[in-house]
Amino acid sequence: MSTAPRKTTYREAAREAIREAMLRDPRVFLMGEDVGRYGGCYAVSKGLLQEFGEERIRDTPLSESAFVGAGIGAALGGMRPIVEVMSVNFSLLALDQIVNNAATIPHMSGGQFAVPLVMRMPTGSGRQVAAQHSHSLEGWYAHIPGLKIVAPATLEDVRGMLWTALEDPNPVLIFEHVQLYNMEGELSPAAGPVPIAGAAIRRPGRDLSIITYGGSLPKCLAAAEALATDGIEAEVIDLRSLRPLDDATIMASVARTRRVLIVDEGWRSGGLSAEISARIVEQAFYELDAPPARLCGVEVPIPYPKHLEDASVPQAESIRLAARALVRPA
Amino acid sequence: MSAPASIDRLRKILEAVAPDLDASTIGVDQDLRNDIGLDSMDFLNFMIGISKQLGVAIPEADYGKVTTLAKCALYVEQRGGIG
Amino acid sequence: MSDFCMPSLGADMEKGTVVEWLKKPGDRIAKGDVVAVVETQKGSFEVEVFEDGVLSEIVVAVGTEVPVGAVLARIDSGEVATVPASAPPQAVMPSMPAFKPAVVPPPRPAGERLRLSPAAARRAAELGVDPRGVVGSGQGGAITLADVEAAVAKTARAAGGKTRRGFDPAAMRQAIAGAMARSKREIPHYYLGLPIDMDRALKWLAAENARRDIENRLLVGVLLLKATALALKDVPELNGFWIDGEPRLSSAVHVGWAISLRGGGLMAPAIHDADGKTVDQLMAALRDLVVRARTARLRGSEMTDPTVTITSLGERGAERVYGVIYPPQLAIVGFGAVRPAPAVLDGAVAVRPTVYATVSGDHRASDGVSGSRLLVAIDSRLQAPEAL
Repeated sequence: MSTAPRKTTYREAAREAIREAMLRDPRVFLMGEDVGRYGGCYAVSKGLLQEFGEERIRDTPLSESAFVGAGIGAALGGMRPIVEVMSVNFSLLALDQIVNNAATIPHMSGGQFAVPLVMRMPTGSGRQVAAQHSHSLEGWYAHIPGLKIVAPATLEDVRGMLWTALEDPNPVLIFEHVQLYNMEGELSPAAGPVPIAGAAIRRPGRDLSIITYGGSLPKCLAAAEALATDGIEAEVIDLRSLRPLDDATIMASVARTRRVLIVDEGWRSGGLSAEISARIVEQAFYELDAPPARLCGVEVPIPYPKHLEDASVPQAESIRLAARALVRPA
Repeated sequence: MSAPASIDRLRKILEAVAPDLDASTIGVDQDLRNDIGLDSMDFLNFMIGISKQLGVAIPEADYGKVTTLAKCALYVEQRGGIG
Repeated sequence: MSDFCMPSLGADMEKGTVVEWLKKPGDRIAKGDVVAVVETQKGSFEVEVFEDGVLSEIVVAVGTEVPVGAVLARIDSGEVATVPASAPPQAVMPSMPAFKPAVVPPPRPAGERLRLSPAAARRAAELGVDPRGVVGSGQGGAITLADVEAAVAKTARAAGGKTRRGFDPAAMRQAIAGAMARSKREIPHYYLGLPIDMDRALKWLAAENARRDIENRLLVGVLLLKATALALKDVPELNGFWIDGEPRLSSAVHVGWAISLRGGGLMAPAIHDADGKTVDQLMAALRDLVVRARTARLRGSEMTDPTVTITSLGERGAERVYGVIYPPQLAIVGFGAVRPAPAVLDGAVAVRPTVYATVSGDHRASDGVSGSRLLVAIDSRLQAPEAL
């Protein structure tokens, strides 16, 4: 087999990750709405039903609470379920299962029962599917002790995080941003599992730290390239894990650049960006040359029309302008 | 024997922490505390300067190994601090 | 209209020379602003004003030597109420008129609050520079770390040579001679000493420094400083001045920290309210003072504020120091070098790191029992270093 990197997409890398898990461990199975016959609403599981059969690629009724609960039960019973929810918005119907059961059972059983459940959910805006399918609610889940929350933003991460998540005895929620599915790039055929903990510096820079994750990462990297032509070198940090947060990487970066812009498609009020900002002020106050800045989703339900949808979340140009204002105030 | 460039960088750091000294006149084997008259605050500031500019954090326990410019340069070079 | 006079920067100062005016007629000045540099026998000092107003007239030209108390300039403090036209309008909630008189603060005079980033503030303290006057490039004109470093580099370049401004070793010697002769002539000193076991303090310090970044390491001197400042709260009769034939005790503990200068001579500028500062704050204050003392950038008030003096010989040198009180203070506390010494513990002789602490007291103001209580209090504070 050739080891030369080959062209692939985020969607295909996600599918390859599921295939690998199914092949490596007979306890692994995928279930969710339309994951089988239809191939998944974002076509991630296309073809898997034919390859692995109905026992392991299971279409479920339209009842998130029921099938997430079934996933928790399967995990308790020794299986390694991958449960796909069609959109993070729909996961609210299973909030009781996720927050009151999955996150608490290992704790309440005194560690006697592990819940090695993995849930995958598309999140975010940009596909014109309107307010009930476009929100970024991963910040809410990042509030819950007992859960691990990850947001793969690169081909390597979406390819490699799933297996590591399945190995973890705790419930892990994987958030896949809908705008990333068509992202193309090169991936080594040898690409395999990657750690799910820790942030990554995707671009080093000296003038400010841009902290982001998921679907906003490509936008931040584009903004950083544009800033570079202006003589501003932005460091871009991909959080990767939203719970737990990698404070050490964040603070070390802030100590180098002394300015920080947090970019989060989720809403500002009470959001993940507020938590990150508070931690920076608590732990790195004396490193700062300016108050931490945030660029977040506008506080409205995501609009349907394309131009309004685009205007409601951070884009490369608005990120560039916010970063520039931080480094070179008028 | 340390490169003259290392000694020069250490002299610059020393001048920044003790602006009333003419560091160019300090011999590489003179004792910074006893001969030059650095007090404990000057010496600590010198250590901080080395840490910040050369990236070598010298633990308190090693202060005895960096009593002169020559010893200091050797110590820092051995830890990859001057390039 | 009020007069700005040649200040007395110590008991031994009779006259001074204005070597630089930092403000010109018409400049708005605020309490605490440095307006002039005055040269005395002890070197150059930055002299600040103690009121808000406008500098209306300079009376004494640069280079003129005048006695203490001579009028140097006149300050027009009449229209303090005038608010700069550029003052930002206050946001007032029109729907809440009942609260309006109570909640709207008076407009803040422009420039009262320095916009200094946290990183810049820390760097300025490390470098011992006064950030006022540094031009800010950050948000809203805030001074950033890079601004502080650029300003320091610029000053260093401008300074060029190695000569310190206004420092004359011979004149400094004369000044010390005057003050010390007066002290021994007027003050009946009593002397007490106590060896203090530093085992706990040094162990605590070593552990603390091992886990700290190099920039945040502590010196044993700050422990001695903090312990003494706290002990003086217990023994207040040694903290203050002897003025007009009677003791005037001070409720604030401003410690004069003796700094020996490499060109020869000695200064003991104030660390204000040392009892209320954390060891980290004291470390920063000490670093700031040492650098400014060495570059002749101390403030006049720092020379006159100390309510007590500490002289510490650091890690090497003599075992004991019996200090001479700096008039009109009431006491001086001395610490010898910390060194291993035999001590009796539980009836057996053991070798312990020891510092010999002394106090010289003004017998007009207090008796030996007070000095003794002070040393015991310092000892007991040093046995609980984590509480300092």
